Amino acid sequence: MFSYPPELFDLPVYGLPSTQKQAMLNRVMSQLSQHHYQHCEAYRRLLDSRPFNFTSAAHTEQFPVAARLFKDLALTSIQSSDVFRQMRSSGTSGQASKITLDGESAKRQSQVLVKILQSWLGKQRRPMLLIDAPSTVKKAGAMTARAAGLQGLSFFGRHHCYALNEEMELDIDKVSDFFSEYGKQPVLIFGFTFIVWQKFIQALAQQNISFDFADAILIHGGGWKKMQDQAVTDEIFKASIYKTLGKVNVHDYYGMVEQTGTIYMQCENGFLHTPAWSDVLIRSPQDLTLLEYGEAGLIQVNSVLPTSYPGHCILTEDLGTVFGEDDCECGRLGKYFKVHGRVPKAQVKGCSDTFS
Amino acid sequence: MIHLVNVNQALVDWHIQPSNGFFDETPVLHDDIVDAVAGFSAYLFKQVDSKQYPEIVSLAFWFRHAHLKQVLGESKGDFSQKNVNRVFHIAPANVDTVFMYSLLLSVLCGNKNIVRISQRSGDVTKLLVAYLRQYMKSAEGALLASLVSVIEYDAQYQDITEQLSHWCGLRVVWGGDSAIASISDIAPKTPQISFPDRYSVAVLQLDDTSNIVSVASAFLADVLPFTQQACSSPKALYWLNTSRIHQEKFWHQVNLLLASSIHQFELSHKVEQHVLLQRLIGNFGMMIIDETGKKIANFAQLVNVGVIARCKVKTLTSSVLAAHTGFGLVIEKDIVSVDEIACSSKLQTITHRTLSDWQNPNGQFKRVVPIGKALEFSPVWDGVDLLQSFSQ
Repeated sequence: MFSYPPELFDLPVYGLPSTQKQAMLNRVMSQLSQHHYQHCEAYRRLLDSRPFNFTSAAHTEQFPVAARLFKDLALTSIQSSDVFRQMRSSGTSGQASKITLDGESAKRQSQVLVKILQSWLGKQRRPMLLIDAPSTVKKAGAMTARAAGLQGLSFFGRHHCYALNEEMELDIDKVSDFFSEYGKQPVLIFGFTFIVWQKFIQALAQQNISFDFADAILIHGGGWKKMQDQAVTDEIFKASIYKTLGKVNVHDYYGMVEQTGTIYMQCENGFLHTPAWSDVLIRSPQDLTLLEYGEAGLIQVNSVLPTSYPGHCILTEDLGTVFGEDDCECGRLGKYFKVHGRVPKAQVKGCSDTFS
Repeated sequence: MIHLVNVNQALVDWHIQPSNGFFDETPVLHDDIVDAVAGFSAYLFKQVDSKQYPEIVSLAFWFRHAHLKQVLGESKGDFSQKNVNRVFHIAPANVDTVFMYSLLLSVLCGNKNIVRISQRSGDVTKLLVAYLRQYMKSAEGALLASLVSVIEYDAQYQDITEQLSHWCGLRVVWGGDSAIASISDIAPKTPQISFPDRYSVAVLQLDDTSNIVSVASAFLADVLPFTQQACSSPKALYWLNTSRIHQEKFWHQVNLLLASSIHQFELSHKVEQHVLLQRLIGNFGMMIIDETGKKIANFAQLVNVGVIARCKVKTLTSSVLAAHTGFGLVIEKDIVSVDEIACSSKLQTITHRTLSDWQNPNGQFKRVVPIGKALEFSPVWDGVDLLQSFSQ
């Protein structure tokens, strides 16, 4: 069992100054490295490959496990009898990442997710419009990131209403009913960025329908790849939402199935923010050296949450820039950053991929 | 008439349609074919410059008249044309020129050929097919029209693969283990030669007498094409009794040469190099030797050399090499004897430059060539005598 410092999860979400936060991360992350070193064989191989003193290394110097390793390696630090849930990425191509959770980890993820979202939504549960089909959550088997997101966020709402039918088409009657019932009070809208855009905002626009919500918060995430393919920027996205839905505070978030719980919410100034329990580093794609604020590179996410799998330091294939720490104009402490998108996939050539 | 007409034309794209002559199976004079193939080589030389398409120029060079005479003269193949074979070639998605070697060797044996190219074929494949189609319209190239057709279709249309397999007397599968497995299940009685997953390695030995620039340049000629993903691209570099100083001099030269080299490496390949290193460590427990000289050791990572990267290891197994997917990661290993090379049935090519005469290692491998020649084609490929197979 891994034991955290007492009251770690009572820390203010965006109120821990840099010196205290970095010291806490250095301590907890090296303990997590030791924990996974003892419990995960593949992780031990990664660390032993070139021995270094990870027990005394800063959290920025711990081994950053490439996110893709969760696709083809058994990266787990628990016995199969302790597996409470297996999460998998909604990966559109090839193998999906497999993340194993025990009961404690799943609980901890929810707990931290609640803390983060409450700091944006308040404690009052709002009537909630989910931009997805009801069946997405109900599908059998390992849980997809999308289902986990919908389920996780559902907790923050009441009177849940799914805006799409089983064919992922706009169910205008349900949405209209939702609006006439709750349109004048605070509501929560949640969905995956591209689904919100294509299946909801564009579908409404095509039918020339608009609503005038009095006080809505839209939380969306899941990535911008398909949006970029259609040249839809954050600005265009937000402008369309104001036009179609009325007074809405729009918050993108960045997160990944490898570190469910510690999500990065977008503030009013358009920056993503690190909560107390995680940090973002930017590494040079060339040689993985740490880059300065303002420089674009590969995003590494460090989170204190993962104990059932060695995912506390993850090297993503996303490009981003950290702009600073503790001094975002929105007033929240922690690093603030932007994501520029994924490094395009290298073309697979040659023998093993011939007949397709 | 052959039952090619049964292929559902809506699902396929004939880049080169079977001509009327394609269905006439009267043998053609061998010397005329040699002239037509050598003519294609000359035609290619006129079309492309070596800076832009070095692999096409290599192909053209290989099929020049003088070299053809030499290759055919040395071959045990029978070119007397008693019967015409039908050969169905399944080309790899993206080692773009290999299908053309396979096809032209079969043409030289007087066979009728259908080549299936992948929908994911690279530009070079498409360009080569376009040149061939153009050349066939000339008086010199007309003969090839009766021997060659090129088809593209989605691999999921297994019935097309089945029909073409029934048409042919020999199926040639250029592809990895999984491709071969899936194709072998289709019309399983079809006589077949196949080229499964292989890995290749380089062995270098340097001292003060070595011309390091020429060695570095030859090494890059082996590593850079196809972003190191061809079976013959060396994945590992064995240093035979070579000092660190000479190794560093070599990498310094590689770095300098890379600045002016033509290659297809992009940022994504750099990311692949990091991921691949971790995959090999995580799966096989590969141990890295730190030669950075830093006082405080860091987590395992590669050493960047321009668009490629290197990493020295303590032990190197055939499993690691077989799992190496290319993308520009060179795994280095110091050895005192060539017998330390990770030989196995999957080791295809050993490229070498040593101070004294080359001695073969004790162990399995398919081919040994001097450094710089890894991707040079040979009519005996992977232990298969293609001319003999095509002329049986």
